[in-house]
This record gives sequence, C-alpha cells and structure tokens, in this order.
Amino acid sequence: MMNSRERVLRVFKRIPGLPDRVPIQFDLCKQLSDHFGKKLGVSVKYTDNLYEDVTYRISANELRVAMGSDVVITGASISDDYRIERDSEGRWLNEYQMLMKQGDIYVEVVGSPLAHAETKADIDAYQFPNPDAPGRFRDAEALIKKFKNDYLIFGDIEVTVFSLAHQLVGMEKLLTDMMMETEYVVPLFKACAEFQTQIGLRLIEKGVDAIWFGDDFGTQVSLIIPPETFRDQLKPIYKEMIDRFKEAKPDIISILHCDGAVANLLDDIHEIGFEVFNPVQPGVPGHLPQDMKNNFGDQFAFWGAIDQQDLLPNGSDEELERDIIEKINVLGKNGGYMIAPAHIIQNDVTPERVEKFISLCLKHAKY
Amino acid sequence: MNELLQKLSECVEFGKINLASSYPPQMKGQDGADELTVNALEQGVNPQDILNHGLMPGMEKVGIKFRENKVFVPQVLMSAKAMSTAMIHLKPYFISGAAKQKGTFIIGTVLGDLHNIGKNLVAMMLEGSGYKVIDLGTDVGSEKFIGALNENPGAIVGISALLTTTMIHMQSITKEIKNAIPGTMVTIGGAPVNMDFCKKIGADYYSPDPQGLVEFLNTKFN
Repeated sequence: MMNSRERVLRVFKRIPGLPDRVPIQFDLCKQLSDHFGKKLGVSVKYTDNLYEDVTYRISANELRVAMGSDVVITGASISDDYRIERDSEGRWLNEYQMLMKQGDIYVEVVGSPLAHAETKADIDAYQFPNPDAPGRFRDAEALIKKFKNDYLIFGDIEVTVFSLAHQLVGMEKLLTDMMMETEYVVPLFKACAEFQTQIGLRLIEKGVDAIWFGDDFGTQVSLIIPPETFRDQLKPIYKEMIDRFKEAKPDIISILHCDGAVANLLDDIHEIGFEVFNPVQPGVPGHLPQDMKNNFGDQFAFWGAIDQQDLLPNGSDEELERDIIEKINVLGKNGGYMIAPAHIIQNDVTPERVEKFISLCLKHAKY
Repeated sequence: MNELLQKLSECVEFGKINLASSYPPQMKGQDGADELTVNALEQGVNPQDILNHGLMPGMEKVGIKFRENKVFVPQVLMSAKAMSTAMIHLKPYFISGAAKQKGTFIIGTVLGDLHNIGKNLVAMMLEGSGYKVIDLGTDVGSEKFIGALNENPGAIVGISALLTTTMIHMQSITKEIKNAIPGTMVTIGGAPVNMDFCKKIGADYYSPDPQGLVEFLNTKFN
C-alpha cells in the first residue's frame, strides 16, 4: 500500500506514475487544532515561528497526520533566548524587531524596523535574527526524525523575500522605492534572501525534502507590482536561492506559495525553478482550474485551490462536494495535484465542516 | 497655459513628482508636478484651473488604466504622490475659498482591521480627483465616523476592509451611521467585499476600483 510520502512524490513528479489517490493537506488555526487535539486525544505541539503568521503552518503536525494530512511541515522556531515583552498597549517586538499587535485573527505588523531605510548602509546595519540561535531547529529535527520515512517533509521559509522586505520597511514605502529604484531596495531583497537561504540550507541539512517559499504578488484582480519590476529586481534573487538549495541537495523540491491573481507571473516562476504552485487561489482572474491545467499543468504540480474565504465557512455541503470533485477532476487529471484549502482554515469554519471537507476529499480522491 | 497644464497632467499620469525624482525613467531631468504647480501659480493660473485641468485629468487617466490592469499599485502610488505634492501648493487656496473641492469624503479601515494601503490609495486618488478627504486611519468604529460626519456635514463615508473576518463589522457600522445621521451615504471597498455584500448590509455603493468610486461621487456631488 502506498504511503503518504510516495503519494506526494508522485504528485510532485519525482516518482513516475499516478498516486493511488489525490493527497490531502490542510492548515488549522489554534482553536480548531485545540478542538481536534482534544477530540482525538492527540497532543498538539505548537512551534512558534519567527514570523507569527507562519506559526500554525508548522505546528500540530502529529494532529494533522492523524486527521489525514499527507505531508509534514516544519520550519525555523523562535530562539530559546527570545522572550515576548509586551508594551503598555500589548504590542511586542518579534525577532525581526517588527512591532507586532494582535488583531481579531491575525497578528499584524504595526511598526517596521527599516521604515526609514534609504541606503545600502542602512541595510548593512540591520541585524537579521541568528539562524543558529539555540533551539532554532529543535522541533524541525524531532519532526523529521519521526516522520521522514512515511511523509514528505516541507521546510517552510514563507515570508521569504518580498513579503519579508515589505514587513521590514512598510508596504507603501517599499513599493514607491521600488519604482524610484532607491539605493536600499535591491540590497534589502538580497539580505532577506541570504537570511532565508541560511534557514533553508539548515533545514535541508536536517533532512527536509522540499523548501516552501512564500511571497504574495497578487491582489484579488491582478499583480501587485509590474511584471517587469519583478523580473528586474526579484527574479534573479529567487533563482539564486533555488540554485543554492539544489547545490546542497540536487533533488530538493521548490514550492512557491503566492496569493492573488498571479497567472501572468507563472512563466517567470517556472523559469526561476519552482516546481509546485500553491495555493492556486480560486475565484481570481486567470485561475480557472482548466486554464491552470492547460496553461501550466506541464510546468507545475498544484497544491491548494479550495476556497476558504467563502465556500468552506459559508457554503453548503453540496457546493463543497461539487468544488472538490471539479478540482480533483481538472487539476488532478493525470496527477499533479494535492488538494487543500487555499489558506489556513480559520475559526469561522466549524469542526464539523473540517471533518466534512476531509471526508469528501477522501471520497473522491481515488484514481 | 494649456501646455503647462498638459505637462502637469502628464506628471500626475506618469508619477513624476519633482525634478529630482528619477521616476519615471522617460521623464528624467524634467520638471515634475511640484515645479510645474509652482510655475503655474506664479504665472497667475487660477488654482481651480490647476486642479480641474492639470491634476484631475492625469489622475483620471491613471484611475482608468488601473481599473484596466494596465498599471499596478506602485505606479498609482507614484501618481498619487505627484498629485499630493502639487496639492500642497493648492491647499492655501482651498482654505481661503479661492479654490473649491467638489465635496468631502470620510474614509477609514474598518474596526479590527489594520490594513491601509488600499485605503490610502483611494484617499490619494480621490484628493486628486478634486475631493477633500478626511482619513480616519485604521481600526475605525462607528463613533469615529459619526464624529467626523458631525464636523463635515454632507460628507460621504467610505469603509475599507481587507479581511473576511473584519468586513462583518461594516454592517453594524453602516447601520449606526445611518441611524445617527439619516441620509448619510456609505460606500464600501476592499478585497473580500462585493456588490452583494454591499446590498446585504444596506450600504449605498461598492466599487472594485478607485475610479468607480470617483465616478459615483461625481454623480452625488454634482
């Protein structure tokens, strides 16, 4: 019987032939993780990431595989030396020195440490977190040791270059400085890439099978930045990252998480060396499943595609089932698809709905 | 004068802020919106004409191009900055009444939501389209909107949201605004919202892009 590891390797075209079924993956918010941990009697282990928004993606792996996830996702943890110290408004500095504040659901960046950057010297003077800080990869090592034989292991370095840069500087300032080609911009991108490359190389050395990059280049209707600006200022930087990962591990799989309507960038994404495109955000221009499969099915394996903004929390079971069937039949035709919600399942989705999603996926996943 | 205002319009359209700015590349070494606005005022051009025939046409072209996905957020930001730089020189004339803006728009990101770039973009584009904009910032509840409306009677309100989890507050805020000041028009925008949602919550208008909002306001503040 095929295990999850082989199943996903076939989807990612690293082993020839179809998997036995479409693999499943999902990320759960804390409330859902706590609920299912209690229900299933599985201890939920949270790994705090340097950037809080990524924390739930690298947490609760034991629980998620018990619920049916076909992959394990790990990443760098916060340092043992790091402590959250809240100010009078409840805000705190993370390891990047970003000022963070808890919103309704997400933790938001409300202060950027490089908000006044103008020169390369400003970037050179900034101290990234230490990749080798104590405890940084403790959880990753434990997960890899436990699950390596049966599951493909992803090393998560989301908030990689562009996203990390705009959180460090402020989005509006970075976008205008990209247009003005202000001195610090490309050095900042390179510095972010170097930091995340060091994290990624250590994850590879620990034994991950894939590196999961994450930077959002799309809005609900279009790209955030002009394609020519991406090609000029960012594309070579991502390519160098992947080349260095391949040098360390020639069969490393490179995955890109990229929200928004980004079909117009996917040829460039492929040229950089990415093999898996996630989350294939549904409902945005250029992302119809048939268009994705026709235009990019030879270049990428797809991971994601189930709407969790509206369908998962608010749709009927029939609507959800129809969507799952369509995505499996179209994106999964002749393989090349791992089904998942397009984002972390939030607390607006009931536990019953999560169970229904998993059961419907399994019901229709067989080849 | 026409040639000067035409050049000013191009500076706004292409985001040429001032002479020193290296953007856009094709306008390097040329005067920007900053210098041209000062020149126009020194030459005695009516500030209202500078706004109506210099700034607004450029902003309208950018708004349409953005709606058609021909330009992207950073380019619109540059246009908005060029326009804002020009507006600094015109502000005294608005305050004195020598030049008039078409109406007042009160904008804020909804309660619980800290995202602002979309809201900032809309605010800048509306100002460039001839409106006085009161920007209340982020995480704005009904009290703040109502307070601003009391200080700016007749203003139209715009509420922005980025998250599906914060857009739900738009319903109660819209209701509270309309209860407090009947007849107030409320518009909504942001990635997770749409016209169905707008109708559901009793708001008056939704636009997927800033230019649509400008066109709507133009019909209301005629």
